[in-house]
Amino acid sequence: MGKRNRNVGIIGIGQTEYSSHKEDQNQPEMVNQAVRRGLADAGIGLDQVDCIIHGNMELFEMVHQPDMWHVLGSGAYGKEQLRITTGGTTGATLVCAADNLVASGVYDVVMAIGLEKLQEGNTTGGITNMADPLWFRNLQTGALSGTAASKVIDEFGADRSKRAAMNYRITMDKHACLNPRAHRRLGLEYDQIESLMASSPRLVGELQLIHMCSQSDGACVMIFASEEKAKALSDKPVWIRDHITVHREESYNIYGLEVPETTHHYAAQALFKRNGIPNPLEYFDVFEMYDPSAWWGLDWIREFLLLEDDEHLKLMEEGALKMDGKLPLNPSGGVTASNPIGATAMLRAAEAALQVRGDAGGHQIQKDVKHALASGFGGTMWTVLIMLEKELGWQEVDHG
Amino acid sequence: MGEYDGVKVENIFNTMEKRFISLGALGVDAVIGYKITGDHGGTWKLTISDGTMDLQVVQGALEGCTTEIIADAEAFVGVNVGKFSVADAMAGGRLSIEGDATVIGNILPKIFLPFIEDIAGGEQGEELICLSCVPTIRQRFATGPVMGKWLKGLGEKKFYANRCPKCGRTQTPPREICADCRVRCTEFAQVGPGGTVTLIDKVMFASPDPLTGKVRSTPYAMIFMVLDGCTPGDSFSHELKRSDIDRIQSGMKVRPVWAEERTGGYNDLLYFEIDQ
Amino acid sequence: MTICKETKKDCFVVEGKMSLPNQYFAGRVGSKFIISLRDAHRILGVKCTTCNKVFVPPREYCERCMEKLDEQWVELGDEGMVTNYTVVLYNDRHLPRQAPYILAMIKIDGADTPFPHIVEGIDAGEMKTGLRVRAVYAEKTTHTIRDIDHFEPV
Repeated sequence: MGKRNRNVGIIGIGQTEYSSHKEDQNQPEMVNQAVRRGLADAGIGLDQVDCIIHGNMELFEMVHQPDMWHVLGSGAYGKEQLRITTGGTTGATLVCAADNLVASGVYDVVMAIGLEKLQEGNTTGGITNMADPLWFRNLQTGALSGTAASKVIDEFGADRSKRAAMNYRITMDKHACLNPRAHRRLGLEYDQIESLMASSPRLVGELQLIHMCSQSDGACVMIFASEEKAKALSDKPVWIRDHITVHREESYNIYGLEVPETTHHYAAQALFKRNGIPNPLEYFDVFEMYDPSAWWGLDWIREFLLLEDDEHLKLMEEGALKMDGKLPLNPSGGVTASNPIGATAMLRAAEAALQVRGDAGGHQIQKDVKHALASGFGGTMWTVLIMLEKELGWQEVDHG
Repeated sequence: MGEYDGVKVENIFNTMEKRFISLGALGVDAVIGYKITGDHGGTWKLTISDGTMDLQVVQGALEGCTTEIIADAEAFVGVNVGKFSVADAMAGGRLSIEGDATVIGNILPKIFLPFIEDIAGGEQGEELICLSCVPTIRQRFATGPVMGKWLKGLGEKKFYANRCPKCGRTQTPPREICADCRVRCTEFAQVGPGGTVTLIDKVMFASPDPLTGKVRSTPYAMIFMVLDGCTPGDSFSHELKRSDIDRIQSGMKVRPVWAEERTGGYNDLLYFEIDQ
Repeated sequence: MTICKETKKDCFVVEGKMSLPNQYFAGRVGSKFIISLRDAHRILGVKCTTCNKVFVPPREYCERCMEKLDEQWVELGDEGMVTNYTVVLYNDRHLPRQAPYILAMIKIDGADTPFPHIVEGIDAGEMKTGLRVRAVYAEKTTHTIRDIDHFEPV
């Protein structure tokens, strides 16, 4: 590998609203809604798009190769199209792939489409089918686990940990309430911490229903252009500085006596080191993190920001991660608010880009956002980490 | 208030016949009780059998139901008109389910078209077609020699892990390659039969098994362990004996419990129990 | 690892099944099309004025020019033409008929796109492209395109 060939800017973002009631649209129509919005946001027509990349969770809607059917709505008729499906990270992988495709010089303008219509499928079945049919499929009964909670509780004690996790959840909901597209906006208040801890049904261990992510329907579209085209087509392109994808064999055994380094930590270490960023908490202005549950979200703050001991709990307790805090976390509400899985990881980059542009509307961070971080997560502990910049001119990196 | 956006509980029940999809109800046998509290509340019993539905208003107690849905009227209507999900209503303590909960996700959407509010007051609302189906695909999986040895070993009450010739780590169940070292692991090692527990997952809310539609009765517990003889990073997981759920702690020793009759396959290993 | 005879002794086959319930929403446009077949025995299409094409089955937007089509409905008749066909010679429980049966692409008069359906009432040997056919509606609805039961020669 070597250095980036040319810069790539995000010039268009389109999203549908996220809900679990989209009976009035079929899948191509839902895709089409996001496509039209993305094109309108970019101010371009289909004729200016060179290639379309499409992704969602394989077989979650019980349709094989849905990108073919979705041509009815995606605008891919007569164009080159690629399909990418990498589990929960699909949306983020689409962003990385679009970056690679445009940076390489093969295409000047790429449109990426991420979507999910979980109402039309069977999520649990889809996840269970990921396990190998000879052994693990018999054991696996869904994607839920309480092990994230028990790890945090073992380290910091039940009371502090549970409060921090509930605090996290309520903060995410408060952010979601500012985002008109978010699926679940429950209207939670901080004085409900005690009552929610007592009343929300326990799913597995200390993982309660309230902590869990949503199951949403929706689509997200992002349009990427080469530096030259991005500058010509957009007043405020958001630049992709760097990204990393980490999927490591050690993660296979996170429940043994020796716990390996998480892919989150590995990704953050590698990415920030090669970009000369010693202190990510200071450097970034916003972090859209893929948080499948409040417990994981809480735990991964430490992993991603390379913190130690209880620094992440302190950040939570001091309110540093709120909209007006030191490092706003998920101003969009995150994955606990909206989770159209094939789009979810892309939403992180899309929402981070909206913050950089100043276009996030009701959930816009008030201070200037120059440096944004977005993460994607997949069920096999796969991590994608993406860095976005408002201005060009960062130090070039050798990917080694 | 007992209603949501002008839609009352009775609207939901009055339209059930019209929204019923008899094709989706073939092969379904369920008796679903509804206990709705608050204004416009009441008790209903819905019997689905042989592709037909029968809805009765109930005075007094519900009996003979395979599932009971208990909710306040506003929440019940809210869920039915799509304002929020069943999960959210449950999280907020406004809806609870007794008995077979899978009915909510697996059966109801198949047998009823969604409730669409009447528009233009009193006129027939827009009907939206929703089809349900259960595609079933038969599959046959080749085990290969490595998983084949593991599965057959279960028939002999043995666990066959394999070992990497380069780094020495074990893999349980065995995998052909050590992905760290990228070499073939041709040496098998008998491990266990007992092990040490590392983590415990106590499951209160079970997801249905898509292969059978069945749901394990809850609570049940999955334990993660390192079998004796395995390298420390090599974890294994299985179900814990139900009567041990309250006693189990990380660090305890466990041993396997085998089926009386074994065929050399997955079902030979029933669960693990605390080894005292 | 090449499987040599000695190792084959541990190889066998495990039976499995994938059985996942799912739903499908026709959407507003799709629902109107199906309801028209079901209740009025009428085939509907939508017209794109930019491309000058009538699409059957209808869709909300034109995939080529993105024109909004869901208010540009066209009522069509029951008759059309076979643009191509095949004869299905094998049986499978997922198929709508016992083999042999004819599966054809049928362009309804006034439409610019054909759609697949079953043709009955003619021997496979007599079948030809260009054959004029007419829709025969089903007795019982399935809320699908099979509310047309099949097409028969005019």
